[in-house]
Amino acid sequence: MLKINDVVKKYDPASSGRLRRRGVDTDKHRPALGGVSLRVEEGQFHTLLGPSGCGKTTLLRSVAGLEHPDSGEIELGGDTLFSAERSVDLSPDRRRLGMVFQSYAIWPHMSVRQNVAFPMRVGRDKRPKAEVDKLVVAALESVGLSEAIDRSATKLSGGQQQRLAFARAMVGRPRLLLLDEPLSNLDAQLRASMRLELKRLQSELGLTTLYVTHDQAEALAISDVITIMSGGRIMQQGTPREIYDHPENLFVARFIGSPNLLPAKIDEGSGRRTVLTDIGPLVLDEAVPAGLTDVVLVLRPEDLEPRRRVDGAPGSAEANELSGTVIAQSFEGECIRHIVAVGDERIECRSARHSDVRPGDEVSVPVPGRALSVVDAQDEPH
Amino acid sequence: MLEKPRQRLACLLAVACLGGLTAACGFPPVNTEAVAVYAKFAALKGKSRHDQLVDAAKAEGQLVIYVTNTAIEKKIVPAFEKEYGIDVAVYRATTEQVRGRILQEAGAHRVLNDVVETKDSEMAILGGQGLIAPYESDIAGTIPAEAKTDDMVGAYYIATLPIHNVRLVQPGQLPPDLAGYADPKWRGKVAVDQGDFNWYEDVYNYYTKQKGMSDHDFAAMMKGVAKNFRVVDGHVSNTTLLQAGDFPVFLSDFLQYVPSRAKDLSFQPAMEPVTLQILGADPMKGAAHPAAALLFCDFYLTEAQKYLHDAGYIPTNPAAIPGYQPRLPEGTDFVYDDWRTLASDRGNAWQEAWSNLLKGKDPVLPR
Amino acid sequence: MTQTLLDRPPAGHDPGPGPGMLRRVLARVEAKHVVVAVVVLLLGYLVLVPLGFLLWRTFVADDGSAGLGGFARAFPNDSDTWAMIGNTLAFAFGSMVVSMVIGGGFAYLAERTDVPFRRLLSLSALIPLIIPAILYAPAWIFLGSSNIGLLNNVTGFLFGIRPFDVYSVWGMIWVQSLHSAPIVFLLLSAAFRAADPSMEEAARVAGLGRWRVLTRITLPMVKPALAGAALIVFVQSLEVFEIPTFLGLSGGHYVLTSKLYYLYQEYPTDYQAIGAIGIGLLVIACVGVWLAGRAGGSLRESGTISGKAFRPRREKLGRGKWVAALFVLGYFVLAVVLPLLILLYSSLLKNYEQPSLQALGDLNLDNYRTLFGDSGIIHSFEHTVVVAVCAATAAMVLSAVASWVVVRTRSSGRRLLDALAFSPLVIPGLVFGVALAVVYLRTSLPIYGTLVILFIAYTTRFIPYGMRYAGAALSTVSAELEESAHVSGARWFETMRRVLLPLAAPGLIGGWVYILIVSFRELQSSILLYTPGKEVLSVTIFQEYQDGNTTLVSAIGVVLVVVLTVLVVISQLIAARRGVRNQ
Repeated sequence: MLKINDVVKKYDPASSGRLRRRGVDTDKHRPALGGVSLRVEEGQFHTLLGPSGCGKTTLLRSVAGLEHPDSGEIELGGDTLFSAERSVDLSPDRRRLGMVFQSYAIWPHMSVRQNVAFPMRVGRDKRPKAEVDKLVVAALESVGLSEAIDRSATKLSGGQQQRLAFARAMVGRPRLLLLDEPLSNLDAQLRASMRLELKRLQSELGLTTLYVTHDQAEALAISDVITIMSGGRIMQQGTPREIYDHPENLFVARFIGSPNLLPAKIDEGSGRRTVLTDIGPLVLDEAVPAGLTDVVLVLRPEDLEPRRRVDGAPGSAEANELSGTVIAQSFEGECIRHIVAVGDERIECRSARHSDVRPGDEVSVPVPGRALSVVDAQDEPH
Repeated sequence: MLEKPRQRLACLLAVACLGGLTAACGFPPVNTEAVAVYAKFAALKGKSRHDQLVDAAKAEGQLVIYVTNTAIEKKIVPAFEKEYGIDVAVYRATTEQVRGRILQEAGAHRVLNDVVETKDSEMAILGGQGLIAPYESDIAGTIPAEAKTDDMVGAYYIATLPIHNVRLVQPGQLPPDLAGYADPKWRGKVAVDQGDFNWYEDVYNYYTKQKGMSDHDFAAMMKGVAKNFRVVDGHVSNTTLLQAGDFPVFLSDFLQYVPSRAKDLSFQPAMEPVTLQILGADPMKGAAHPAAALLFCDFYLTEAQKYLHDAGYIPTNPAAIPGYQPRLPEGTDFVYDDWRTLASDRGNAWQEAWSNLLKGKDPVLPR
Repeated sequence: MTQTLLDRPPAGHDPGPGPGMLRRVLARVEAKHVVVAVVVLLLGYLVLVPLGFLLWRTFVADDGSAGLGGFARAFPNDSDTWAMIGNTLAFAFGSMVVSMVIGGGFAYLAERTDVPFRRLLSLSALIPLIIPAILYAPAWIFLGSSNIGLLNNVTGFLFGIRPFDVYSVWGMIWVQSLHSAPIVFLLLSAAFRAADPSMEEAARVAGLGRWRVLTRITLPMVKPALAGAALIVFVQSLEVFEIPTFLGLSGGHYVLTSKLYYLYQEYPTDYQAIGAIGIGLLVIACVGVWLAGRAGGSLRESGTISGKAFRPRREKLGRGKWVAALFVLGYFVLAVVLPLLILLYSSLLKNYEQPSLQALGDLNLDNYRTLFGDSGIIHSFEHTVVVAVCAATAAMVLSAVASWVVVRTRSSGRRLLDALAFSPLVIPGLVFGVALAVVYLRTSLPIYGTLVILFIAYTTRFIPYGMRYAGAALSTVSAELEESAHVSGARWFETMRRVLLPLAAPGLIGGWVYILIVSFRELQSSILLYTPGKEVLSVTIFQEYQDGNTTLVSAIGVVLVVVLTVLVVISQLIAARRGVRNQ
């Protein structure tokens, strides 16, 4: 559906000059987008995830036509939106998109109804008034705002403005829905419920969606596919599960969740299934691909549950079990976080909230082989 | 992207400016038909001249005049329009602005006015540019010689003399002559207009040529008086302030303000010298309505005289006013504007000398 | 975060010439490109004509030789020149400071506090502008002269002192500041209105005192507007002519504009020296532009009306409220009531006289009878209305598009455009008049000798004000509001018409009203350019004044104040119904 081919966008010299004067280091050689390619399939909820400044918003705005890349191509449903090669750069109003901005960008001089009706009353395909009215009511109904239809847009609460922004972006059945951190201005509770509602609406309407966020929990919860970006490049692309379970590089491993990262070496003798770390050898379920030697082992705390060792019982020599001492603990509500000292390393573990492990306890931590993954230690992008 | 159209524009502009420059170097614009009309009527006299002139002027139907006089618009033009049924359009501004406008228009080879009405030295400047047609008629013969300059037949004088506020000074307290204003009790109380260098030159001529004072003594006297000056700008507004009592004496004020405002203002006893600027109307060589222009100049020297008198000016042809009563006593010693000097480069030298005097700098006389 | 002005062809690719490229280029031309190009060309033309003339007359002598002789003659190396430059700077700087304090202080009070009588403030911002300039300085002489000033009479009667002297540098600064404070007030109240109060709240929560919040948070938030307003009043005071002439001469306080008029009186007129003074003013103004730019005074400001809920909040003044109210009332009395009363009083007299019982007996309505019976005055009023309405509209349209380019695009020419649109402010009215006359005398189009030339003059002269108003109005509207309309399918023109213009309308209407009012008073170029038979009101007022009909002029002033105040109130009501619907 949406094809982005090798899009490059250099920093605007004027704005980087301003940034430099303010003491921000704008590396001239590092473009905002350094040759990004990706596909979004029909009906897919595709998330661009990354830290701020990674280029995700620039990419989204390039798709919208609000930024102008220096090279590359963007195609949507067979139409070329942008092509440096062929000198094509459709203006935003010709791209037939819907977009929700971080600030919602609700027009404060219009009523709720006028806001939603706007996309159908302007541009090249204006719709008849009767149809517009029907669609507006339907759109507001689907976001649960029908009772506010004739209110002034500025009188809505933050959550209501958010819903209004969605209704407005979706009402014209855009070919592609662009969402720029739409939930970041909401409080935590509202954010969680809006997240689900957003997903519901998107799948009900079957809208192809490109979503930008820096919130990994959000991304994991609602995406079909996540593209992780950093420094204007794509770091990894995959389903939430793939990304979480199999980070392809150190950046992704670090960025998703808060895993324990241990430098490790491959034990070639084990058929590349055993890795050697400072706290002993650990066995993976799958062989490490050839070519990797210096690796970093990724151990997710949520896979590691410490168990109190029976007094006097020796540490199990069985493979994939760590033994150590709980040196700190915090009660997080839904779980308990433990810091376990294993040799010289500090390993973070989780347990259910009823765990009887206490600080100072000697514990053993079983490490399930399927929960382990490795990434190249040299794969640090910068 | 913004640069290119702008460059092109700059080029266009430069061309336009250059065009303007070359146009400005051309000959003064002359309407040969107008010159012929002037010549024809110069040869005629009396009633036949007048009747033919009225017919020709009515045929033209319109008149555009550039003037400096404040009485023209309200009184003289309506009377003229009423009498002859000719539409008159008036541009009124200061003497410098009228001169500037005519020279700019002439520079573009356009003459948009038929008559110019201004003062002696300004008319000399316009005459020097070849823009003015000499006004010739039998009426001119009845005007005294001192009211005529090379370029015009004066219709009235503006008299410059000290005017005081009677609530602040009694007649007995006024000094008999200019030197009396050097007394420290006048400090800051004697207003002079910063543009009145022509008055300064007239006063110089009076003291050095008529009274035989040396340049040195004159300079010393003026420096003494200047210590008490209060420099102002604008005769009208400052006459208002004089009348309101902000200061007691306006040394280089105009006589015409006294009769029109009357209350609290007086020039009596008139201190000598009373200086006179000569003002009048002249037809333009490039006039589009030459007959109407001539008719207006005639009118200005005859029927308009009473309006000029009413406005406080001194008419040059009092015979045209039934029951004329002069405002200044017979035998007042007048000094006429030295318009020849003022219209020459020496004019600027006098302006500088006057400016020096006001700022307390030397020299206070042109080198 | 914005669009480029024209979509650049992508880098590193040259499709080469050919019909295909032309077609593609044409296909990419949108309404916005056409509109922007037309506006930039028009604006460039309007501004470059007088500017080019100024440069040409300064550096090229009448005989065609180029040189700097004008500077030597305009600025001879003596103590006078330095005193004059010093006076000019002191006057401009003093007026800037005082008007910033007055205008800025009252803008803050009006927009950010619960001070009573707020409505009076916006009136006191406009009425001093409506009073004809020719009467404003004399009105202050009648109030503040050490000899006849009413204020001195009052203090003399009460305390036996006469402390005010309007004929001093301070007097000049005071009167000029009262004249400049309105635009400071108008520009800053827009900025204060748009600044997000949650920042101040956050600072108060963090424990900062009221004064620290003001100096550390509020003022930095409106810094661009502060710098912009300071710049405009500074430059205005450089160029003003009436006040130094009226109040400065008797104390020997000569300024650059005095010298300009002195030179203009000479014959042959030394246009090179006049131009040199103009360039001198331009240089001082450029230094001001540079300084203001360093302080963040460019038109670019961060968007503040975003799509988010936004509630203006007013600071509770507590007990200080009534002190502040006293200041507001005092200012209203000083800047509006007193001058207006003097005006009204003198309009009822034949000749001005100091107020007394006897004078009260002389009061009559003759001037008003004359006024309404004089077709010349009525016609000049009509001409002025036509020219002023057209000029205000044209200047605001041009300014709105030009400041959109400055505020919203990254095009490389926008700084140049900003500077270009600012420069007419510095060109003295006299130079302006002469320039337009010389240029349009040489075209066969019916411009010279019609009202069109005044329309051109006013539009050009007042574009700088339009730019300030439009820039402030547009920069308070977040770019995302435009972008979201654009992505929603609205073409550029629709986005402008349905989103940006309504949101910026209050500011744009404010600018329109301001230009309308200053057009009514513009004299310096009008007197040179008006056409016989097509007088405008400022010229008529000047002429009536010259004729000694001071009190008639007062009557015209009173009528003007009434008519324009009604107009201002109507336009403010319209402005209030547009824009963000708050309550």
